[in-house]
Amino acid sequence: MANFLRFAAAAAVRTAALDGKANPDIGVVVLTGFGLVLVVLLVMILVLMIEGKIFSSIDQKKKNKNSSSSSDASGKANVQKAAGGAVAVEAGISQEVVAAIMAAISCMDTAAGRFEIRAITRAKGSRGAWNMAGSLDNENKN
Amino acid sequence: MLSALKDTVLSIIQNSGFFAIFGNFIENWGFLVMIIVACVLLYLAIVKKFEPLLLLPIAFGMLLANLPGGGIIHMEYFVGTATGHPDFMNILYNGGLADMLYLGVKLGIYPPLIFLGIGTMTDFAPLISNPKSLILGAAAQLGIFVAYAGANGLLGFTPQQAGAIGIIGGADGPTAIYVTSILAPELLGPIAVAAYSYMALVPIIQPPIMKLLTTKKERAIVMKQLRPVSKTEKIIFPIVVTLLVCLILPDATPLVGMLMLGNLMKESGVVERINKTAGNELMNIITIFLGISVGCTTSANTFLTLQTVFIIVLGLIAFAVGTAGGVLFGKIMCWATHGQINPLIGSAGVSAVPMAARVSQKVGQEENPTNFLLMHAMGPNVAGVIGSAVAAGILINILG
Repeated sequence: MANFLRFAAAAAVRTAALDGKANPDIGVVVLTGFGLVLVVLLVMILVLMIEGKIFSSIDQKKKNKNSSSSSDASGKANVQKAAGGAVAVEAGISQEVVAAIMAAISCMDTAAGRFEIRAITRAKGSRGAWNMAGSLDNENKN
Repeated sequence: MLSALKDTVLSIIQNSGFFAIFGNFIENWGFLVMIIVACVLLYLAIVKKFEPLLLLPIAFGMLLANLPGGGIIHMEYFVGTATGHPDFMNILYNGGLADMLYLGVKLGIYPPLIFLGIGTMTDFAPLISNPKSLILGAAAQLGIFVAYAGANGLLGFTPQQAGAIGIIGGADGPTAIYVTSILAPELLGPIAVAAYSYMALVPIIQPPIMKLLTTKKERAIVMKQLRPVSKTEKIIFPIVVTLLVCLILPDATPLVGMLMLGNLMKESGVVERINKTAGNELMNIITIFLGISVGCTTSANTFLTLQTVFIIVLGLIAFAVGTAGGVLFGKIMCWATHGQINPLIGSAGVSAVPMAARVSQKVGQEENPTNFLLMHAMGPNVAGVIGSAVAAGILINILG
């Protein structure tokens, strides 16, 4: 690096000496030119790598902090669920169904007071939608 | 009455462009050739969609400049003046639209403004997450200096002209125009046309070189996913690059400074209105001005020379060597990292954003259809923009 800078400086002096930089040597231009492009971009690599290391360590610290705080928070949340009786959703019921039920109930809020959903479970022994439709159809025919 | 009518009609005929071309065909055949060249470029822009945003106004400017008697531009006000500077008095009093527009090229106003717009559209995240790709951006500038050596050493161009020709290898139109307008304004037309033509031909020129220099196994290398980059890093990047590059190379300040200002406007997210203006309206306006004024410099008298042929050939050499330099450095990095880097991304270091990165992606997928190199290639690609601006600063510093 030091050699290169010495060479570049010598080349610059030589170039300047040639009548206001009018006719520099081809080799000087090629070597200093390409060399300087490499040097500038290598310095940038160095700076970016240092910057990247700093930010990675900051991110890592944040992650560690978040993971420890989230484990505390999840513990608290479980207690709150148990205490507050949050909505218990039966296994196998999709989030879309839960959202649709909640939306339907919330629509009723203003008209007939406030409702609270405590649990969403499948009705035991009920017929399937197609069975129900078939029975209704039969009843209507009769 | 009849005689006066005849004289008037004759005068109109004698002043027409047709008469100028066919009345003295031996001297003025060049205009016809240039009109045909302009039409071919228009065809490439409209039908083949080769860089149409710039090729279309350039080609039409070429058409206008080669209509005898049109006098759309007066290059004598700009080149070869007694003071060495534009003849401002003549431009203001006798100049026309193209003369006024050309001032933006001559004074180096348009290329930095185009860089401002490019900055607002560039995502430097792939480069920030993989800074080593800057080496590939530097390696791909090799073509600039090889073409310089050829132009100056073998073909007798002056060092300034050779520098302007070499910058075609940077595959960056605004940079080529900026350097040429400072070092060799008399060559602006052929260099701009060559630079934009080769940029448009990236998908044709690069793949054979890439395949020639890499093995099937190397082309199929799948690279590791890049790390996510935080917003803070993206905001700091343009400030750091500006400080670093512009303090080392003050001559690169107009290009690098504007590029980074545009990027800071984008990444900071606090100046959404001017960010949109710089990336859309302003950029479009400057593109029109730049295209027309560059096209207008391609008059038959200055364009149809042996020099132009040399420039076209040297431009191709610069471009090919730049691509080869990037791929070869990619191979070295592949070897150094024990096969973690696909050498194909090196070719994207020639700038030409994002076309060169797309070519890396396409050639890579030919060997391994599940390989996605695009984001990896964007690193060297945007590094190439910085690299060519740095090379431009160096050439201006040494030769200007």
